[in-house]
Amino acid sequence: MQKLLTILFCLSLPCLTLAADNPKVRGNYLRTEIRNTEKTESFRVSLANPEGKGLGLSLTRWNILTHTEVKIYEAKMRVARGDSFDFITIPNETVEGEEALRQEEVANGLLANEKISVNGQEYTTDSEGFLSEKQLQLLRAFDDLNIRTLKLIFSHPVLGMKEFTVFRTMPFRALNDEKRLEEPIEADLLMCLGRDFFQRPAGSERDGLTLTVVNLPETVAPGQEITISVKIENNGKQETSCLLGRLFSREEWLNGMLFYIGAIKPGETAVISRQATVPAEIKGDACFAGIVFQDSWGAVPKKGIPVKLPVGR
Amino acid sequence: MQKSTAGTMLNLLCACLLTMTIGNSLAQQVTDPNAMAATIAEEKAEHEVIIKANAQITTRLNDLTRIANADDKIHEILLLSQEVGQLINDLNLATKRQASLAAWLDKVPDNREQLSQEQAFRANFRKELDKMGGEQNKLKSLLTKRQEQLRMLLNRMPPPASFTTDTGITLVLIAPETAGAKKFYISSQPITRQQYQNVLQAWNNRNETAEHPLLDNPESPMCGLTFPQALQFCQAISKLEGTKANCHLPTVAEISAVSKLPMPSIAVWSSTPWGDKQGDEFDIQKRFGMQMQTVWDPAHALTEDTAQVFFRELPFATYDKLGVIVAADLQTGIANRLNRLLRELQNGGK
Repeated sequence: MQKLLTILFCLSLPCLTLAADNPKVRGNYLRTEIRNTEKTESFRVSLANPEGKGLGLSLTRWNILTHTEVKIYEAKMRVARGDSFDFITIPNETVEGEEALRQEEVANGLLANEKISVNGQEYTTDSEGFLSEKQLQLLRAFDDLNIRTLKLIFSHPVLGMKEFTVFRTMPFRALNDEKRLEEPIEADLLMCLGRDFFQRPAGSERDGLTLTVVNLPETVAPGQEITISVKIENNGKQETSCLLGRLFSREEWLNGMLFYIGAIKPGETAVISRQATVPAEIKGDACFAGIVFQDSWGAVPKKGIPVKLPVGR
Repeated sequence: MQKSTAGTMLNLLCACLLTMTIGNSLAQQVTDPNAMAATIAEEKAEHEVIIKANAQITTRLNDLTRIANADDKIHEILLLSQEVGQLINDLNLATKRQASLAAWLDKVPDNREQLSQEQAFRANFRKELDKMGGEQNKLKSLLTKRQEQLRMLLNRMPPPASFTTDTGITLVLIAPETAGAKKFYISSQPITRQQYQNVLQAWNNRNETAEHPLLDNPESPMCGLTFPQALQFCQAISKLEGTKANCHLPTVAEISAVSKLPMPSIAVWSSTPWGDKQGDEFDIQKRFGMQMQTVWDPAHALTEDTAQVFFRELPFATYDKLGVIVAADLQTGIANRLNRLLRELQNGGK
C-alpha cells in the first residue's frame, strides 16, 4: 500500500509541480459576455425628398448602447509529456480576457414634433420628424455658387448636439475622385433631389431645348408664397450635361435662385420648381427676372426666359 | 510813217497770234493802250477794295475782345471767317488774272517799229502788276494767318452753359469736381412724353410712336422704356443732332457728378453695366452670359433700401417709374451751338 502511494505520488509530482509553476492559461475563445450596458439617446439627420413634401431633413431617434464586454476563454494547464509539454483544458473553469467597450446604435423611431435648434434657430419637426428645406432655406444657401458645403449644427435639449454637413458636388465627373470619404450619399443635395449632374463627355444638347416658365401667377401680392417652375423639353438628339438655370433679378428674394436640371435625355421633359415668398414691403408695380442657363460648356445662348410678375396689392 | 504803219501791222499780227493762244479780251487789253489803261485802273481799284476789306477785317478782329456775349462773338468770328475766306478767294482770282496779264505782256516781242511811248506804257503796266502781285501775296499770307487765328479763337470759346437739341431737349453743362473727369451735358429732368415723341417723329419711327402713345399728360416723364429702347432713343437724338453729336444714357460716374441738379422723382437708366469688372457679381453674370444694367433711383421710387440710390436691373424690365435722362459729351454742345449759329448765318440772321 505504501509502495502504491509512493508510485502515485511520483506520477503526480510533475503535474503538481507544473500546477504550482504554471497557472491557468488562456485557451480557445468561447464567448463574449456583456458585463454592463449604458444607454444614451441620440438622433440622426439625413437629407430626404419625400413625395409631397419636397426636399428637407429627416430626423430619427436612435439609442446608443455602450456595452462593456469581456471575452471568455477556456482555462488550460500545461502538462509535461515526456520531453515536451501539452495543454489540457481544465473543466468548468474559464479565463476572462480584457474588457472592451462597444457601441451599438439602435433605431428608436422618428424625432417627431420636437423642438430643435439648427444653427441657433429654433424649429419644430413635423409628425414624421421632417424639417422642410423651405424652413431651413437650404436651397437658398446653396444659391451661392461659391458654397459647396453647408454645416448644420443641431441642438436638442435632451438628445444633445449633432453636426450634419450638406454638400453639393457639381459637376460630378466620371472619375469620382472629388468625392470625399466624409461626404456620405445621404448628405448630397443633388443626389437627394434626384438630379444627374454627372458630366457628359460628348457635348450637351442646346439647339433642341425648349425652355419655358410655367404656372406663373398672374399677379403676386406682398407676403404671398409663389412657385416658379421651369419646363425643359429636350427635342434634340443628345442629353443635356449639367444644365443649370439661374434667376437674375434686382429683387433680392428672387435673385440667384438656381434651378438644378442636370441631364435630360432626348425626348424627355422635366419641370424644376423653386419657391419664394414675396416680401411684405415690396415696391414697384412689377418684379422682373430673367432665367438664364449654363451647361458643361458654358453659358447657353439665346435661351434666357424673361419673367414678369405684376404686383397686385 | 511807213515804219509806224509797219510797226502797227506787226503789233496787229502779234495780237492775232496771241489772241489765238490766250484769248481775245486779254490780247486787246495789252495791245490797245486805252484798254491797257482801263485794265490797270480796274486792277488797281479792285486791289484797293481788297486792301480796304482787309483793313475792315483787322478792325473787327481787334473789336472781338469787346463782345461779351459768347453767341455774338462766335457769330462775328464765323462772319469774319467767311469774309476772310472770300477775300482770299478774291485775291486768288486777282493774282491769277494779273499773272495771265503779266505772262501775256512778257510774250509781246520788242519791236523797233513800236512807239517808245507804247513800250514804256507796257513796261509801266508790267511794273504795276508786279507791285500789286507782291502786295497781294503778302496780304494773302496775312489773311491765311488770320483764318488760323479765327479758327483758334473759335476753338477757345468756352462751351455753352446749356443747349437745346433740335428736338427740344435742354441739356446743361456739368463740370465734375473729380480731377481729370471731363465736362459733359445732362438733361436736368427726365425726358417727357412730348420730347420722346418729338424725337421719334423726327426719326420717322411711327411704330415706336404707336407703341408709346401720348396720353393726357405730355409733360409727364416718359416711363416704361426698356434699356434697349432707352439706348435707341439716345442714338436717335445723336443722329438727329449731327455727326459730332454723342448723346447717351448717363454713366454712373456722370450721375455722381450731378448732385447740384434737382434729383429726378423717378428712377432712370444708366449706361453702366452692373457689377465691377472683377468680383463675384461680374463672374456670375459672365458665367451665365447675362448683363444687368445700373439704374439710378435717387428718390427711391422703386427701391426699398433707402441707403442705396443705385440698383441692378434686367435690360428688358419696364416700370411705371423708370424713365430716361440724356447725357451728351462736351463736343455735342459745342457742335450744337456752332450748327445753330451757322444756320442763322446762312439764313441771314443777326
